[in-house]
Amino acid sequence: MKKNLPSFILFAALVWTIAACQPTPTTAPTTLPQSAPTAMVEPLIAPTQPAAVVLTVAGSDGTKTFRLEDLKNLPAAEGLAGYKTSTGKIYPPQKMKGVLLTDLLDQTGGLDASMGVQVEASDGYAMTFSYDQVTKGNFVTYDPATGDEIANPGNLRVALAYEMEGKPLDPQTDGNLRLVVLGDQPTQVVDGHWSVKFINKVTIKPMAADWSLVLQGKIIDEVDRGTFESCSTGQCHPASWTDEKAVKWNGTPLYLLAGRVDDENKHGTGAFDAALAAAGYTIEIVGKDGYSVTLDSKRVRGNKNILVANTADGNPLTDKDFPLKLVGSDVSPKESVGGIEKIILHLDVSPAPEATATVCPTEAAAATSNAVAALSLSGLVDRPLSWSLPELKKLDVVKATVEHPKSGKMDVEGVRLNELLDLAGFKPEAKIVSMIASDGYVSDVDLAAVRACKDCLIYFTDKGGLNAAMPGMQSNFWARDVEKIELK
Amino acid sequence: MKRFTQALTGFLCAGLLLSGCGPKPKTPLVLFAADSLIQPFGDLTAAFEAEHPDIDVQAEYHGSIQVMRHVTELHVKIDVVATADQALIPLLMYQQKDPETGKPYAAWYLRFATNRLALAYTPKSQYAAEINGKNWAEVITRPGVRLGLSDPRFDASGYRTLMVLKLAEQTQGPVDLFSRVFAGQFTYPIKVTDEAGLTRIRVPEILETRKDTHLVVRGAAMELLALLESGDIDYFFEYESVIQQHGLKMVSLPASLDLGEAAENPNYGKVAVLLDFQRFASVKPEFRGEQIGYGITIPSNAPHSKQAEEFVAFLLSRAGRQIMERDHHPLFDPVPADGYEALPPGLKALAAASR
Repeated sequence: MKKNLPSFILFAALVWTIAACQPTPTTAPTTLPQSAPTAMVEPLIAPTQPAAVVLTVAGSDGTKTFRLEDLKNLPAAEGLAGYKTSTGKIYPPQKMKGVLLTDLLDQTGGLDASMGVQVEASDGYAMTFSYDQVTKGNFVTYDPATGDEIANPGNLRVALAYEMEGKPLDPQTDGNLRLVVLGDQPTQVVDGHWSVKFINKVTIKPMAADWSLVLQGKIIDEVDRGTFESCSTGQCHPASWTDEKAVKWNGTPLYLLAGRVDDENKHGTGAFDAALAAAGYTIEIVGKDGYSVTLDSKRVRGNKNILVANTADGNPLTDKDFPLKLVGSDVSPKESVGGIEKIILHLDVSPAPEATATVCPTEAAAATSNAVAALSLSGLVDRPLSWSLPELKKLDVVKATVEHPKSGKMDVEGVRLNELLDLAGFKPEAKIVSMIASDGYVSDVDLAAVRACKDCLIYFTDKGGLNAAMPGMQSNFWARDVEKIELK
Repeated sequence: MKRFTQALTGFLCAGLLLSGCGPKPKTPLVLFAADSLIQPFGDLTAAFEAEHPDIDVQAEYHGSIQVMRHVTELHVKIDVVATADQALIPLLMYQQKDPETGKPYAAWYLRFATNRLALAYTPKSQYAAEINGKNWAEVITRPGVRLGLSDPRFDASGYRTLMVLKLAEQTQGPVDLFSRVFAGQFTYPIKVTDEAGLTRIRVPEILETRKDTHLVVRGAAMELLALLESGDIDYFFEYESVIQQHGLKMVSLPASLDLGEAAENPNYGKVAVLLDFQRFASVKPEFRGEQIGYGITIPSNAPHSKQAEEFVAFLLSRAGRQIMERDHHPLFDPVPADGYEALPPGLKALAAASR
């Protein structure tokens, strides 16, 4: 032992010396390695629980759970996937193996263009992918060497990977499953936020119920589904038409949609500029397939028989017509554009004479715009208006039973006085509605009282004249043969 | 034996000498910060490490929400957290507790800087020669002009861009500016509702542009910078500090729009952005317009809180202020502290209690 002591001391000294002279590393960092934005600490299952469910898929045909073995029994997809973080750091493509999201969704009813796919991690982090991303690989891609965007990344497929470089995913850094965008060549990476890790749930989400209608005129407006529906279901300006097959179409008159963008007044009193429409411009209704028709503003003005419908018999329109269709008794079959996504007011384009002449059912309406005025509205209004009898009948004609203070109940058919006022708009200083008859008789009514009178009408008489029905008011307010209304 | 003893003695002496030859171990200081701080904090870190050779700053930069998520959901041990939206600190770190210690992740933060949004462009941008503070809204909506948008689902500058455009529409027009920019550009529309003085901009779960759009949407503003410099887009809204750091041209916006002025908070607060996209279980995806505020704190579970305190103190020091100013991102003076009483003692003298 004594003989070996020097050797032992020498050995110990050598070890000590070598150890002390190694480059001293920084103390091990306390953070996890830099990660994609989806890392999670806890793995979903321990390696000792291979039979556990690792994925729940909620599809259109119900919910199904998968164990890792189940996923491996589905057709395997292999390719190269990498990603780029928001700060530009690139994780180059690596060989990944897994199951295509489309194959997985086929197990639960498949996927169509009206759906999105939410991929969720066990910590609640979620990303929703569009149909085009899942089925066409529609992603922004980058060159892994330079980080620059590349235009043609080749065929990209979206998969849930369970293997990387031939080995199962690391449960500490990736979980059991990780979303990857697979390419055939190592020439692309995608944004890191798509690279969801620790995936444990995939959910199909309906998306196409949401749509919008772009209106373009003096200004641009986008009407979303909720706004359109609230307008077409009674709160605002509903209109309906029943066709020859007894299908009831509901929607909103085209002229009111035009009124949102014909000037900067989008909604409310005088939103539709009737004077501008009378002067003439064209309205182009464009479908999603590019088909369009163009109508004359004079024909559309105040016409509730040209409507943009969003339901038929109370149901959303079918694929061909979804979401909106031009219908109505004044719309010819040729003009009945479906799948409307845009309405353009060409305010600087005067309608060509032949344009109004070619459209059969509405020809009369256009022609009457130049007919003798039966009623005019002027004074403290935003725009003076006048109507022939046929034009008045194109407005929202209502039937009502009203009670005359002396004559008693009577059934009348006409146009609400308030609708006429709304079309013309009135100035804030207006106080009196003055109705002037053909014989010079004048009936002055407080504007506030008229505004409060829902059933005050200008109704059609059997002799082709216009009388005022003013229920709740004395008989002297019920003017006969009204030719002119003036706001004072 | 004598020869052996001499050799051994010499060897041991050499060993003793050599044992001191390696560098001393450095203490890692883990910093997670908003990506708009990359340049100033990069310079700050270099200067700090020069003053503290025993500290190795390990910095990661992400979007602000992502920064917070590393602390509160991924439980990464971080020494210093800096975000571009100070509201996220009380929202997430005050409210949630570290499961290991049972303590909230933070009880204070310093609101150290603001920023302003501006319209970034280059001399190559279409109409670069004529754009100015009066006509920018009209120029960016001209046919053929390509406008970049940082995805509001992922990036604070993205949802702040929506706010700026809506505020501009409401205050200086045109009255349809927001629609001119966004109408018909997405498969699923961005919706706007007005109620009780608040305009709520609702971003759909999937924000996917249609073909032939004039918008170029990318996940992070950093990517738009590259596209702007390459001429693939003409304009996008970015923080002034970042625009200046990259030597780009910009149209400055009035204080009523740029989200950089505290006095304008009542005005900014008239708009809010709501995300249908619930990215994280713990983040309520609605953001109300307010002055941009950067926040910095030291998590309660920071492994190296002493060094973290030194870093924050360095940020607030004269040297730190100079670096931030050089990088066009000046600090508030004084720096207000939320939770002043909970501040580390060494930082109290460098901050002021928030009013």
